[in-house]
Amino acid sequence: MPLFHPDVDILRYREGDLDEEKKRSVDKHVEGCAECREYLAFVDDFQTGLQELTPEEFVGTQTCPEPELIFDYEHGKLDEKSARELRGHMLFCDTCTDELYALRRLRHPRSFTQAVIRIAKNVLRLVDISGTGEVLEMEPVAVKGTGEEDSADGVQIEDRVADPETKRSSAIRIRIDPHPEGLRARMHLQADPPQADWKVSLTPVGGEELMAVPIAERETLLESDLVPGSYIVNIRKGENSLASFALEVQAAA
Amino acid sequence: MATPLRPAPASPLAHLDDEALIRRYCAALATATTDEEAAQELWYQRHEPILLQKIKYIAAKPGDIRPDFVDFKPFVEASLGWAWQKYFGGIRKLKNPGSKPALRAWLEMVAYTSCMTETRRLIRDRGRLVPLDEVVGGDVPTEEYETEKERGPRYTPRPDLAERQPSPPVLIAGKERKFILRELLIRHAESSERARESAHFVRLRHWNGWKCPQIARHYYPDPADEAQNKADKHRVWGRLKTDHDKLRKLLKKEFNVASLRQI
Repeated sequence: MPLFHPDVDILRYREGDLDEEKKRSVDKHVEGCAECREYLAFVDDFQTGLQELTPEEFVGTQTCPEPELIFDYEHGKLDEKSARELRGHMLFCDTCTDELYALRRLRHPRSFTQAVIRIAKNVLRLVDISGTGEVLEMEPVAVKGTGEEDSADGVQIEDRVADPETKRSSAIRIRIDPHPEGLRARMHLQADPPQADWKVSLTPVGGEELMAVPIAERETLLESDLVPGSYIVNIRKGENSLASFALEVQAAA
Repeated sequence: MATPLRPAPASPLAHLDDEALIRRYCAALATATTDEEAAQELWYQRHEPILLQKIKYIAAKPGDIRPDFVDFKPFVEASLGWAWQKYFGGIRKLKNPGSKPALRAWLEMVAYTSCMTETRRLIRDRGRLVPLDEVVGGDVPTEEYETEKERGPRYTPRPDLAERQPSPPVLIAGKERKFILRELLIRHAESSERARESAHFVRLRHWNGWKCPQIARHYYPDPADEAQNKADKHRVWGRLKTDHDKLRKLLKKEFNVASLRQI
């Protein structure tokens, strides 16, 4: 059995979406891996079970909330209890889900990510993320603290950002690492490939822009001494915003 | 040469700022009267033009909030009607009317939700069948439309169907299984915005039978290039993969069941 599980390929394998070579490799893995077989059995059972539900059984009786509630949710202003109820409702209600996405499309560029990050001494933890960005796994880095070695964990978020005019795109990665001096962080932007005619800016919510530079290098330091707060990292070309990352950095209690 | 515009007649309340006007209007409401002067100044001179501008922006692209079967102009007019209701219905609840950002945010909320309300009305009305006599004026012969009723049910149950029904214990297990599956998905969706989105992917894939590229195109706007298209699809696959893992863990945690086959 190969050392690594096939990750997303296991679902693509199940749906017949892999080329012959990859299919053979996953086949071989699944044969010898009880965990992956259990995973596939769960997906099969889950699908069969859901398909047995009639629309009445599945959707039940749903009452759509007022549009104001959806607007507040999109703005992050809804209390947790109401937000949970709305999320449960939107699982079944395509009208409300479409409204939420229409609001997002109008308010933000195509690529938009919202993330909440909690910061403790030498450790950052992603609490929530939504939008088009994805979290990337990071290798733990050993840093020197006050004479002892601590494990330092950062957060990495990646999105593929494209310019619809030129049809050029880059993988944009925001990397936040803990600062050795406690409840602070360092923020970098990595671009693959760099785009010299794009700019990145960092702005605290409700405040003045802290910096704005062209994305000419593979890695750009956005802030070396980031304190807890809410920030917007914006990628733009001229006046057009191509992507935004709304990051809330919270200090751990 | 263009004729210079004649200055508009000065409003008697033009000297008051927004906060003073709103407070004056609300003070009158508290005594069950309406301050028409303040209302006119607030709506016509100050905030209707802002709301109209915002509504036009929201309605500009069909298929977003404005449905693509409705023209721009009637949609804007109807939404402005809702905006008037929401504006005067909600102005009393406006916290901190002296803060310009708070007022701007509230007006934005009024504009967006007015368009959403109009869209809901349009979709609701579109789905409602209009009786024929409403269209042609009442003199519609009814006989030929009622013959369907007299024919009786089109499908009759097969006599052997009762024998094929599952036994009561199997039926109960099936119902319990259905309940658990639904509840599992709801609990997962409720936990965070990301989980809600992923649970919706699971629903679209398994219950609606959508393929992964269809889910990607439904959720994410048109990609600018092939790399972005690939990234969108990969994102959906990735979410489906991790969320089946999470659903498995949740099943164990909430229902103490390791496999759905145990139910």
